[in-house]
Amino acid sequence: MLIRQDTHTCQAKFWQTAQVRKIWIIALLLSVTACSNSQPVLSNSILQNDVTSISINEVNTFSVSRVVVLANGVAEIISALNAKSILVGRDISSTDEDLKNIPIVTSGHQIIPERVISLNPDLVIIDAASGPKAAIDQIRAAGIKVVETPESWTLADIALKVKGVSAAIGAPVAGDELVTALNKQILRTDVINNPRIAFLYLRGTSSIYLIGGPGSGADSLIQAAGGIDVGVKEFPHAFNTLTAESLAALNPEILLVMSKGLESVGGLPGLLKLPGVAQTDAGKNSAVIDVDDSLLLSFGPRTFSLVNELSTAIAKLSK
Amino acid sequence: MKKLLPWFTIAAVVLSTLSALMVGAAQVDNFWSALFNPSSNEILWQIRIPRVSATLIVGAALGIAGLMAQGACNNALAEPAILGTSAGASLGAVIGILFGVVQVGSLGAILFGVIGALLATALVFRLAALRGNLSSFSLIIIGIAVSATLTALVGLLSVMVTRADARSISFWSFGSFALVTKENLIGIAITTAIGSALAWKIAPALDRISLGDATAFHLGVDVKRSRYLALVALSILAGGAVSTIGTIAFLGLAAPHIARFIYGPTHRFLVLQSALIGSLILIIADTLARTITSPNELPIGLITSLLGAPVLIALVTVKNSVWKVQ
Repeated sequence: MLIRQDTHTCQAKFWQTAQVRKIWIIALLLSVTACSNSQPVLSNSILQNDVTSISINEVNTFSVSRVVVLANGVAEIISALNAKSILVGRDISSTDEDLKNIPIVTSGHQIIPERVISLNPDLVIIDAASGPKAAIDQIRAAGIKVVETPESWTLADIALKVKGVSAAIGAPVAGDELVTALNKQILRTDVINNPRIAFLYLRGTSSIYLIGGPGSGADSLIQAAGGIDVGVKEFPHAFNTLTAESLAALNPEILLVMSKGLESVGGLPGLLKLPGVAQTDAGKNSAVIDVDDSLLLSFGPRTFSLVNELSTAIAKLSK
Repeated sequence: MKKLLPWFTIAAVVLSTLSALMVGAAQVDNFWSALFNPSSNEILWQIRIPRVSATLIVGAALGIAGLMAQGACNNALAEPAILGTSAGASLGAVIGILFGVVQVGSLGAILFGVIGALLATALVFRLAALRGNLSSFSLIIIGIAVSATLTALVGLLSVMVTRADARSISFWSFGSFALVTKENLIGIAITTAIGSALAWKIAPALDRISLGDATAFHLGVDVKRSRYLALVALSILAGGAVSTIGTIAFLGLAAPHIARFIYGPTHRFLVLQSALIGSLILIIADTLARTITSPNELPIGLITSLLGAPVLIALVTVKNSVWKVQ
């Protein structure tokens, strides 16, 4: 038996010849033919324009004059407190139309201290998800007051969050007024059969599904709207990775997704083709509700209106 | 005993495939009845069988792709990931997706992937040959550098252009079968069939090239043409697989080495055995990936490395070399 290992076997000239040029020509020809299309199909969408925000009109005085908000949904609460005039910067989560002129300084998870400090705020509002911690420490080190307000992941949390925000800006009375206004909202429940609903967090970027479990936020909305969140009993965490087979076995009647998530998998036709989705009752009946990404888990002044819209959509699909 | 070895590989693939079909996150009642009655069980026929079929096809494709890379260069370290082929395929597919003309898993994405694979591999060889003879050292170093560059470009494009359907850098780096559908099977089956047929055709020439270019030339082999065809076969096989399920690390290196070690250096035989061993490693890896932490799923690229590397190390340490010629 002969054992050998060549180190200089390939000829350099070969790779400089017409053969390689042919590869480039083949590649060019192939690129001309490489096309495919996707066709848009409508789902049951709940967009920002479909919901209304509760707010107060009284003019209040505040203990601060320049506020930067880096906490989920807090900017729209400040707007609802009629305190938009003190807002000089915000994170990306609040998407109310009347906030569009307030500069966005971060996505919330990637705070850049320089951008925040350059706005010269006297108060920065964060929540438990804001970070990184080092960035927040730098903001504090610059002598800026940083207040952490409570997160809200259920309808009941909204009042706590509103009171936390209103206390932070020195307008607790305004907070109480807004909470009273929110509590007057009557939740409409058109749903009768308590359909089984799964909240899927979809991103085409991810090759694996995430399904909502207890504490995802969607569980509170689904329950308030008259449905049963199938992920609550089956899974331990707020968001759980899920195989296609597991989703098929859960067999939800309706799927709740975020609009951009739906878009990322090719819209409703793309979603219905995903392994696992097509085998569920929801997939077979195209029973999908998509809600604007920033609206769904905002848990603020728009949430009660959202629940009513959600209830209507669920009732329509479960008939 | 030696004559029976190939049958062991086939038997192992068949048994692994059956095991893969039997286990999963969901229980399939009356498995054997469901297996022989198409469409009787949705989870089996619409989720599990397409996925298992994809792992078999992609495993075979990457096994043969690695063989083509090693055979054409007569280089033990050559494989799609090192030669830039996989990274080129990723970049080609991502560019096609970002231009909005293709979707992951479509025939268009596969064409973009194959184009990217061809261009990247050609670029590596071109750069490695700039200063004279194409040595193993320069080939591997240039290949690693080009791969790193193209992978970084994929990452940058994924981050800079917020198109979720372009998938994430982790998908292109570690691969996943989670979203494979029956429709995707058509594309990778076509590229694997074309690439395998080409590999089969040039396999005898690669036998002679393994004796050295000069010897191969005197034995009547058109060395340039054979290498060119091996490069095309490699790019079609790896490009088709990577553009559909991302990059599966290590398989292209391990499968042909293991096949060569067990069955010897005859390339036609190695085409079959590299395909079978590639399929075997991948089907075991995928079964583990989707069952170890069920209902969660692990990235398959991590499992292939964990499975393939120890086997390769064991084989190499038992004997001094896996490059052998009878």
